[in-house]
Amino acid sequence: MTSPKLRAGPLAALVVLALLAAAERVYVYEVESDVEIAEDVPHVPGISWRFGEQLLVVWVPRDVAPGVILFTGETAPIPLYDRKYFLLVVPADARPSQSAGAEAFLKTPDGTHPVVFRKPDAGILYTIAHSIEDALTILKQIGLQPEYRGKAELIAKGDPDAGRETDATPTLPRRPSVGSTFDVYGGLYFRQTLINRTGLVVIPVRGTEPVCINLPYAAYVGYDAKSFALGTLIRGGVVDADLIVEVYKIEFGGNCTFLGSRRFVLANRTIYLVDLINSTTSVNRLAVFVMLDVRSFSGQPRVGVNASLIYTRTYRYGFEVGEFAARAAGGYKINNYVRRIVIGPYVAYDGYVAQTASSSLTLRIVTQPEDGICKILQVRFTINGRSSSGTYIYRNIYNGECIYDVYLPNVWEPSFQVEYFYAKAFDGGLFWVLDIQYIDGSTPYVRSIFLRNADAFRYWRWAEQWKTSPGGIDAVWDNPFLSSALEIYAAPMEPSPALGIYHGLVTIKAISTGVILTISGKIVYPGLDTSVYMKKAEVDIAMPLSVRRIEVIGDYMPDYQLSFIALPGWVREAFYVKRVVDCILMLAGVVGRVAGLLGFATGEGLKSVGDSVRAQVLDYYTARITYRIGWYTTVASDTIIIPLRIPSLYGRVSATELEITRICLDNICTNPNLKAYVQPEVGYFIPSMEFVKNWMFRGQVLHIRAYDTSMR
Amino acid sequence: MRGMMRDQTVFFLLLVVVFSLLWFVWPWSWLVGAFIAGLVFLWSLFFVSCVGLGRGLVVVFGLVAAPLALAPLAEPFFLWYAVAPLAVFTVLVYAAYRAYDSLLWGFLFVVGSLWLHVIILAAVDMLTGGLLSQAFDMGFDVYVRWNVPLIAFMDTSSLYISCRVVKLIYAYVKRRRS
Repeated sequence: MTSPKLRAGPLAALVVLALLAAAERVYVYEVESDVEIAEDVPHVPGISWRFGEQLLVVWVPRDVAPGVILFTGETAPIPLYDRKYFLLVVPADARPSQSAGAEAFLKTPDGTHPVVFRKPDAGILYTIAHSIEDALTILKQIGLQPEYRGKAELIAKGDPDAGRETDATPTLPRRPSVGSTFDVYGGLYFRQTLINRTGLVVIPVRGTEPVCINLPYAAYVGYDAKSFALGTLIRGGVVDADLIVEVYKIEFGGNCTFLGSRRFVLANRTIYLVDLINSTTSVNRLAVFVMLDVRSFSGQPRVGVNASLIYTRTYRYGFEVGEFAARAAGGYKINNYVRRIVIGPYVAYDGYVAQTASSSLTLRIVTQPEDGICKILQVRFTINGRSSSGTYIYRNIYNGECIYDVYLPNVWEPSFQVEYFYAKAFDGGLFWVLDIQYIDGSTPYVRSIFLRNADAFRYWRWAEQWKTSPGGIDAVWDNPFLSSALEIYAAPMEPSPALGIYHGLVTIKAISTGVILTISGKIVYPGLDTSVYMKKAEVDIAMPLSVRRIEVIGDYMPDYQLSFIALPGWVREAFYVKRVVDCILMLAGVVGRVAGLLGFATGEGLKSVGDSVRAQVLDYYTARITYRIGWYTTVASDTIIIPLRIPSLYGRVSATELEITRICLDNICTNPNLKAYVQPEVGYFIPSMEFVKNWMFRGQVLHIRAYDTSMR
Repeated sequence: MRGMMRDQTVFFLLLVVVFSLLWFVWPWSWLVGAFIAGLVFLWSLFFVSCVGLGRGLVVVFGLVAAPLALAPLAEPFFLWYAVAPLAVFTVLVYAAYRAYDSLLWGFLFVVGSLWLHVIILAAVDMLTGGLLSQAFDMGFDVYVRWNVPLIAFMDTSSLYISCRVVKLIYAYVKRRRS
């Protein structure tokens, strides 16, 4: 019997051979550039091939060096990319020529080409490869016959940085103020699709509520989208196909009408710019429909498609933004030669408001002295190992070992924007890669790393898609789905060889009729492939109004199915009996607030039998919400959802600022000062289409029942 | 005889405190029931040793405490968490009744001792700026464990004092009467 793998082998070879037979010869150059490539990509005027005048850009790592992924304890080769280093793919028959309008020149071993930068003719922004060999493989898969021709230079005419984003002076993060207009980044998510036939294959959007009555698998884009890009990931096989993106206008009543389509050559790990979605077309409410036109395939390829969007939004009402903070803490034992430190990945939360990213990443790197001396340490901060956020020099404190206190002054916004955009297109996260080396170029032997409890990333985030018409809010978005969130990775400050990393996530969604707190936490033991769920959590919420009569109005454990926290029946009965017995014993001095050990042991023992959630008023403005697992619990869940009622929020006519001042997840405590804004109750009616909000905020879908049942 | 009694009470006082120190390492699991049972058992022996401890009482208090540990295995026993303090109180009154040959005197001995110790605890709480009420309010916590040994120590030591005081009062009244 032949295994599927053996059968797939010759088939794949046949496909590759067939592709090669019709393949177009291209030259691949390893380019050092003095300009960074972003949305405007290189074109050679006058050439004509499958991709118009466009040259294909393929990012490959500048180098790969030993590193440590801090939150898993793994040591691994970590690549470092550079936005001024990439491969350029040029058709082999392109003849070098001179062009008066050239913005730059590509100097290759085969001659010099004039280059201009603009939005891609063929839609392909760039492709990401692990190495030059990997890049050549991807190019072969899209029907090209690549030939590596060596190094080349891309030299800008005049000032290379003029009019282009570079590693310039970082701008200070801005806090959104009412009346200001921002770029807001978001994502769309499609289901991974197994390719098992040729012809048209639909890539359905994730989610269950159709945006178009006549087009069930379309994805909602909404209003005022100024840029739209798709990212592709192909795993498990090879596909020769075109990627088709159709753009629709959502009509009143839910039907969608066709506006136009774009057809791209499908390539792995590639980002496509869809120019049909822009500021002009998105004055209408838009939807997109994605499909593949498969010519052939081999193996069992699964195609993943996700989208990155940039919207224009104006902050009008004072409650359309929330905050996201990603924090890091703890001590990590390394004892190895380390050139790269990876911190993350954190969720790239939807709705990032441009120009608001910041970081206070602070760490202490302890290294072993070399020949009794400590050298000067150079640290380059890069987001996702690709975009630089600055290089800094650190001198040591000598204490038998070399101690370097490393502090990142700020995030470089252009880098953050590029990486966020990239992360959304590939449904990925955000992380720091620190490239560390001594000033003489040698690699340090790192003993341990201590992360101070601080923000790895922080930014303001936007509510749902928002119609910025002067007249007011589009009816669908009367009550936007907005939450502020904190994600934390932490370890004990004393480094331990048996690494247990705490991973927590707290979100707060606030509207006047209620505040919903969602808390998740678990300790992950990467080496043991096991995890322990959260046992206790405390969240302090402050607001400029009274928190008196704050009330927990339900509690849920989302163990795939949401369910109320319930005590065993006999425990509930015991509480009734206890009330009667306590009346008698109160007189005897056995029970009471400070009455003694007997009453305390039995009473508190009974109280802590089951899982519990309680709200406690700390002072006029501050309340503490405490979740505690019971000692006789039968539920295993790392998440708890807590709907709260705060009476003073009722009837408000202006936005109210809530602040999470303190979060303790098990033993990990942090003071995030995370802001959330409560929409005023008066003047905004309860939405009838609440469910649609979850399209953009994937992951919240499971919680909708809690919102529905507790808020209505 | 009096010296013996005092030694026995001090012994059980120390036993309660030492046992309560185990709370620092006690797992947050079904075994918490066993810890509570142990605490109630030893505390009962400590208090009853003030008036006189016999083998029968040890067995009775063992039977009173056992369901607390067994509740996770048989849920109806959780009801016992509500009733156990009343049961312990009743046995204590019975033990005092045996010691003083009077139900009223026995009852007053137990209630008097308990109330006096509540007053001492309240005074300590006031003097320490609410430390004790904080410890009591904390209840049994997954991570914060210092409160239980503190409560055990303060409770037993104040109860020891109050018990001694009530005994002295009883001795004085008895002398006056005779």
